[in-house]
Amino acid sequence: MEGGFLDYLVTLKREEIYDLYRQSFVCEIVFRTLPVLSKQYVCRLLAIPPPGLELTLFEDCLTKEGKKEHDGALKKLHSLSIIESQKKGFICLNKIFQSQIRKIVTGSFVDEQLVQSFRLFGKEIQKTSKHSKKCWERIMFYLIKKLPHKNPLGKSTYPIHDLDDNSNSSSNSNNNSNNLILKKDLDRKRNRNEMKKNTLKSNKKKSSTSSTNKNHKKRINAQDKPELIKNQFQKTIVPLLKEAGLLTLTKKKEYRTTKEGFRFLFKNKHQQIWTILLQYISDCKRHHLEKSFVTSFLFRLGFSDLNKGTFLPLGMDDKQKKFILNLHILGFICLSGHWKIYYPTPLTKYISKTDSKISQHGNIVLETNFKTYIYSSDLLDLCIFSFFVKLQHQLPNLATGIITKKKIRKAFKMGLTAELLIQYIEHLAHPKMFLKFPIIPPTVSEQFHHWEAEKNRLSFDLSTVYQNFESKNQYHAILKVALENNIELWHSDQNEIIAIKQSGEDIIVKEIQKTRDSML
Amino acid sequence: MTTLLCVVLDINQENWDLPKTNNSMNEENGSLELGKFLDKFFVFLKTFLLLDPQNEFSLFLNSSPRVELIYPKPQQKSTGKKSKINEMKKERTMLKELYLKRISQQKHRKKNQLQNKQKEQIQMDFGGGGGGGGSGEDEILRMKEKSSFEKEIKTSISDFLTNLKPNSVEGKTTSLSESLSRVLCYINSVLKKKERQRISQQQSSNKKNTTNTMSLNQKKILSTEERVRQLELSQMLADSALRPRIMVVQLSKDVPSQYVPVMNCIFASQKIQIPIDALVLSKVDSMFLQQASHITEGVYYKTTSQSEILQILLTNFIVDHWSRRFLKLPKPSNIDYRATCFDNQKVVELGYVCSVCLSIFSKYSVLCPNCHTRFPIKKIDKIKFNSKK
Repeated sequence: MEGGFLDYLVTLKREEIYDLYRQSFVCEIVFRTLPVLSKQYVCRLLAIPPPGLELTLFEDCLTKEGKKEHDGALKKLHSLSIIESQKKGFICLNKIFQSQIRKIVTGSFVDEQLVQSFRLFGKEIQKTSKHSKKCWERIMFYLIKKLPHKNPLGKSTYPIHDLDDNSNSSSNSNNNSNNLILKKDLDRKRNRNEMKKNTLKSNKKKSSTSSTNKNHKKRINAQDKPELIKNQFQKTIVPLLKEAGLLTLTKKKEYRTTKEGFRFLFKNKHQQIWTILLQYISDCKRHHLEKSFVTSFLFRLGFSDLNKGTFLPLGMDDKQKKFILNLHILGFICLSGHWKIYYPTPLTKYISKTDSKISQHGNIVLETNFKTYIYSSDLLDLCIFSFFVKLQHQLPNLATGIITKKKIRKAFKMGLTAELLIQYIEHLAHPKMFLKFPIIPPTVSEQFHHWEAEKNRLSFDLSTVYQNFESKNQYHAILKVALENNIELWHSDQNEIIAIKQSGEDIIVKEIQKTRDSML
Repeated sequence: MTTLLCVVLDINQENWDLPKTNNSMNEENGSLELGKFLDKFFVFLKTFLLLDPQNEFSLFLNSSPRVELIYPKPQQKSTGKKSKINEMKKERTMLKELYLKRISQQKHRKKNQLQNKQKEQIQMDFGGGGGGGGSGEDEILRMKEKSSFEKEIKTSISDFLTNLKPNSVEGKTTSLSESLSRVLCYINSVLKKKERQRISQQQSSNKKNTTNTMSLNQKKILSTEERVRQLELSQMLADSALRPRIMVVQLSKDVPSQYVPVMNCIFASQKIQIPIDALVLSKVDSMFLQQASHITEGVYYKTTSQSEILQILLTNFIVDHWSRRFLKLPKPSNIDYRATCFDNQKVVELGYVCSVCLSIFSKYSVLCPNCHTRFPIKKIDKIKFNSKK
């Protein structure tokens, strides 16, 4: 699972992992995201004290298919320091991990503190899901907007919610939500005029809010003042994306999406969320936040019940409050009640959920003649699809198009890979596509690979060409040396020409001097 | 990988040992005590719930006149919306008051205490650092919800046992056929509920997709290759959906009169691919459960030792559908396939079979008791005699 939470854990040192395992949430999440066979092994070892069970016991119980998975499962457990082998041939569970899971499983908790959560009404739950969608789309559209090449939406017609200086963007979004394919010249002109008017207004507003912010921070309701969110977004989230490698600064001090950023758009939500969160966690030291606070809060969110709102803990530092505000801007929680209550959003379920290979909510159908049918009216979805599909028609719930070579080559230029594209389509495939095996018709997937390979037809190396050798012997001697050191790129015995990589120049020069000396 | 585990627990009082004797004696004899068994069983259930957040289980009590669904309790009809909203409002005002109290308390404390102690409190709130789990608020609530099933189940079992009439047959006989059929009906209703919920969710989110259900019984004429592929795919799809499983804990002996209904239940669960796992806690093998686990490809384990039970549950019975491809699990050996006569319920090795309804009898009769087709032997003999000529 690329870029997921487990990959991050594998990179940590043992002591750091043990620190994390002292929180039972982490143990639970790790246990749930383990591959299937590893889970079973952990279950078997749960009740057994060290030195544990013999490896042969595990190996005896495997079927043919199981034997293939056995090594991988054990490796994973070792790499996450869940399993130790104290005796030869025996494996047992790590003490800390074992004790945490035992606590969860035997239900031995002490009721020390008051339970501070309450159920939510239906409308409030809708609010939270809207909020999370808004925030997440804000990030994705920002990445799309900052792409270096022309992107499907053009310069100004897009519904980034309170991101630009254009404060009427929300009204534009209602108009433009489904008009991806129509020409937008009229809209562009309209937006230019509005932008001119609103830059003046927003500049005035910015100066006023910054002064009031310091005094009345606690009384501002985060949802009422979009200016505040705008500023915070530019200040904190954008640099975060930059450090995660998704954006770069150009010479003109503008942000541009990198190739990694473009690939980010095509990953599934779990990986996307974790790239951002991991960057936040690794930046903790710089922002003087305690890692344990951040990780424990995040994992608790991963287990939160969507129907409940909770009071924030008392006595938080300014920096911890900032962290929670950043979570609000990212869309994981919804703050309200003068920032005393937070509601977890549907986005949090992706923190702990690993996507199964096949989901039952897919909505795209791909045919062998490269026609695609996308059952969605979501602007973000259509945007991402328009990177590799030439959209032709749009109906209220359906968009049709063809995958063309031009579009695909452009996408590959921008940084996409054929494998990632195939995974993306498989992930979003309509369940009716599962009637055929493999899911994506092999004509299409192989064609993607061909088009990708076309990019790599030519490879360039800096090199020097040696010719006009004094004798055949010299030529053969130098060719030998070149072949031994793997610096030879091309040679021709007839014409006595050798092309050698630039890195190997020194070696060849020495050899030539040697042969000259020997001749002399 | 999400599974719905339905457990059928044999509650026959005579077979469970009473905790009257000393504990040491119990352990030496390896006798089975209901309370201790339940404790271990709850540990097993909790690890099962830990495997996947959407795992569910239900517990049935196997006793003869009525099979009781102990968990989750069938909900009474919901009180109207207004009362619910009033309840929620009351909750909130209560919590707000508590919260404000805490703030005022803290303000007093702020003046008195140092800042270091505050930081400790924050860590305690979140259970971070050396807290060692278990001191977070949400955590407590979550564990309360899940661990509350322990108390619920224990109280409902004790209620059931105390409510039994002293002289009646209740609680002293078990009926495997009744419990299996009840469980299958329950599974069917749960699956249908989930489908209805899913369809309504899709409609509410304004996505007009075609229905995504892949029914397990597909009636199309396909080549063998396509069929294999479709099975694989339907398996993969079904893995992401809720997969039901039945587990039977049995102490009592088989009742041979129940042969026919038990076999019907077994074939029904075989058709819809629901494995029946059996844990037999007696010295004698149970013929029905052996056949059940063999036909439905489930697990069969027989043991009498109290101490082994938890490890057995955690190794063999926690394995879900997806991982059964990778692991070899204990299967029944030496299965007794002998049938019982449909009339007098005696075990039959050599008997008469009706060619129409395939029911087995030990004695010949002209009229099949099940399907009422006539088999007049004298006329058949005559036909044979004529054909020989």
